[in-house]
Amino acid sequence: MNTTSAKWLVLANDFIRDDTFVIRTERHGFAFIPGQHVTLGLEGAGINREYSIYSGCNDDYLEFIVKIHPGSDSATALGALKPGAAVALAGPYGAFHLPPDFNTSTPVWFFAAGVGIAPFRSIIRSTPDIDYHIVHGVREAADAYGRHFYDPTRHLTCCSRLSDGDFHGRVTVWLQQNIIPCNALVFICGSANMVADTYECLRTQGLHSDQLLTEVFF
Amino acid sequence: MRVAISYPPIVNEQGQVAMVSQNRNVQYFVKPTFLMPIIHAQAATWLRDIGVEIKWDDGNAKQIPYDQWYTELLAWRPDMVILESTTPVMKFYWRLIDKLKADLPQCIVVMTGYHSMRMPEETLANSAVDVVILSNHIDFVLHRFVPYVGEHDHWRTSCDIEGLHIRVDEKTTRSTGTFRRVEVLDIAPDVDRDLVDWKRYAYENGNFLQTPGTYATSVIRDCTFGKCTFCRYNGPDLTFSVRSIEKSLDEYQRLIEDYGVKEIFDDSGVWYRGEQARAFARGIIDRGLHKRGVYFGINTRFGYLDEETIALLGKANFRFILVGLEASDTETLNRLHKGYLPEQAYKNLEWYTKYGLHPHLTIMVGYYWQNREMLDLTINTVRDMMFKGIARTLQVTYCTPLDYTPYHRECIEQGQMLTDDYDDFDMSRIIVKTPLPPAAYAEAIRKMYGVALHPRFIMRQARFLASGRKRDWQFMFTYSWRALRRVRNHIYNLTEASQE
Ligand SMILES: Cc1cc2nc3c(=O)[nH]c(=O)nc-3n(C[C@H](O)[C@H](O)[C@H](O)COP(=O)(O)OP(=O)(O)OC[C@H]3O[C@@H](n4cnc5c(N)ncnc54)[C@H](O)[C@@H]3O)c2cc1C
Ligand code: SF4
Repeated sequence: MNTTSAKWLVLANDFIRDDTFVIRTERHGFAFIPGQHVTLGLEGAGINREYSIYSGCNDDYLEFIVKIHPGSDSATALGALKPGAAVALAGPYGAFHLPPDFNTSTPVWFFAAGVGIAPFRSIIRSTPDIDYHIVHGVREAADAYGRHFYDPTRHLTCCSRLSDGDFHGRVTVWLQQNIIPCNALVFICGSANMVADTYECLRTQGLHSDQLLTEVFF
Repeated sequence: MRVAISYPPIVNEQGQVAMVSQNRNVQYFVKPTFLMPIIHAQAATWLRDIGVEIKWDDGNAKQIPYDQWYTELLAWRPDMVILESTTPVMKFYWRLIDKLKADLPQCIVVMTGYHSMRMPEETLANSAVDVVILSNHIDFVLHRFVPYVGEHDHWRTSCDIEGLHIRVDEKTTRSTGTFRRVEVLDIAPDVDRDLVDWKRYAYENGNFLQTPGTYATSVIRDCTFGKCTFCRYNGPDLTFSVRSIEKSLDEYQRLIEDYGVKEIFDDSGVWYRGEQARAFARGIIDRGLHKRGVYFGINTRFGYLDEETIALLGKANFRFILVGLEASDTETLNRLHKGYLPEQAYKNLEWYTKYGLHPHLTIMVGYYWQNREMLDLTINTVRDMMFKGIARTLQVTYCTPLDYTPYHRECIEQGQMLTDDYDDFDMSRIIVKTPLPPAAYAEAIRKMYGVALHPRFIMRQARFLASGRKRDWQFMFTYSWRALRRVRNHIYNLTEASQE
């Protein structure tokens, strides 16, 4: 039932960092392609925002990972919801997902900044057999949300503030020292600046623009 | 290099001028509105800044006849001409390009715009065009591409700047691949107002309550939401890019202090929301720009601006707020991927009016599934909103599938199109199969425009005057006659079309 009018109850809402929480809602058979997003808001509030689906398509609930920024009203309100409260949800939207004719032998590289990991978790959770690698840009290792979920040999954190991750520095610095396979399909998700800079590095490495898919969060 | 960024005057048999620029839905008007094509204007500025000789060549805004426009363009002997396409004028453009290439064989003709961007092979097959730009960031592409052409004789085979479809020779074309969807917008320069003759766009624009008005350099390219199926800003190939608040505030200040503008409209698909919107409004207030008697206007979507933000916008002297209410039934909103509920529209409109903004509704009719019940619900909701005073003005059009948007493709795939002749896509008639006869949708449009002449609406407007706000008096005396003119123009167009 994909609609704007259904009532979706919150099943769980847990802060995993001071400013980041994972909210779980009913699913009602909501169909989506992993990587897509919805609009989410408080029921009756008149306001909504885009959030990528964090759960997999085989889960019987929907999950979202949300970061609260300074002045972040909708996110703050969502974070305060208790189980049993209702949210307004519409969608799914977007084409930031594996292509329909995707060949599972193609290496897939995911570049995420912060909660930009959300669509990638959904893709990996739904299609665990893909040959993936995640490069996750965060401030410090503790921000590498749900790190335990990924195969450690396929997951790498680039920490910009502390040196407690796999690499100390931004994703773009890591990219200056590491080469991505030339046949990879690459997904980039985060702020507009992170996406633009990562894109530029990958183009410089010789990847073709047709191999690069992007999703901007803000 | 001598590069012309050209908008030919396009006039139909009734002497009406086509409004093409800024990726608008093309409509023909006797008394046209002149919209500054912001991204092309940024391209002109950027190219000029890197030493390219630029001819800003908007024949519509100059209000010159086609022949004069063409002769002047030839006489200038451009090395490159940049054009902007959209579905209803494609055939016109293909003919123009062929003539241009015959008269100036060495001149490189570049086609931009959402139609050709989604169907590049078609334009390459139907005209002698040299290059189709696949990107909506044409300023970014051109500032890389134009110097490249200047420096490389064999650019047709060697150029690998992404987002181009290039004619290599008579038989071959090649694509340089998907364009960059995200660019760092702050790198692109603000529009040089003098270069693009800003005053030509400063008066004849129905969005301005005070003149001279102008369009700001957009803060968002495309749309943060970008999911409405009928909209050009929706596509698997599109995302959005954001300009910084400070850079935009600097431009507003310059426009007010150096150019004396009285109204500034930002035509981004959807303007800032949340904290960015509030930071912008605070910036206007901190700089004292809200006390200069200048109004500010934006596009938004229901669900993006909360009450606190709207209150701040009201304080910062924002006035015109353009918002799409494409229909009022849940099924249509879902099918269009609008992402909001009818009741959210009410709530948002109440906030806008509470804080003194003038919401302008854009409504569409004639979806291929729209039955009597859905249509009546839309008419009644719109009338109710206008009578309650929570919407101040409106604009109603036929939903015309255009530019190979998802809705356009859906209509084709589902066999709903009544024509594939692009000349018929000028929004003057229904071109999809509908459950009701076309006259029912024309009547719906008349009913909605007719609200402007209804005593209940006029009474409601008169009540606004009690607020003592200057903008409400201006609205009554300045805007009303413009609205009437628009109503007449639309009714004229519809009557003409339904008589055919
Ligand atoms: C397709 C899409 C998918 C998205 N998916 C997610 C998601 O899964 N999880 C999520 O948390 N967000 C996601 N976002 C971003 C989210 O929709 C916005 O951040 C939204 O503005 C939050 O609304 P708000 O009212 O809380 O804050 P707002 O008041 O709208 O914004 C608060 C301020 O924070 C800034 N900001 C927003 N996001 C970030 C960020 N990540 N880092 C730093 N500053 C930021 C904004 O620029 C603004 O100045 C997505 C956005 C899009 C377009
Ligand atoms: S919100 Fe407006 S600009 Fe954005 S996609 Fe929808 S119709 Fe287009």
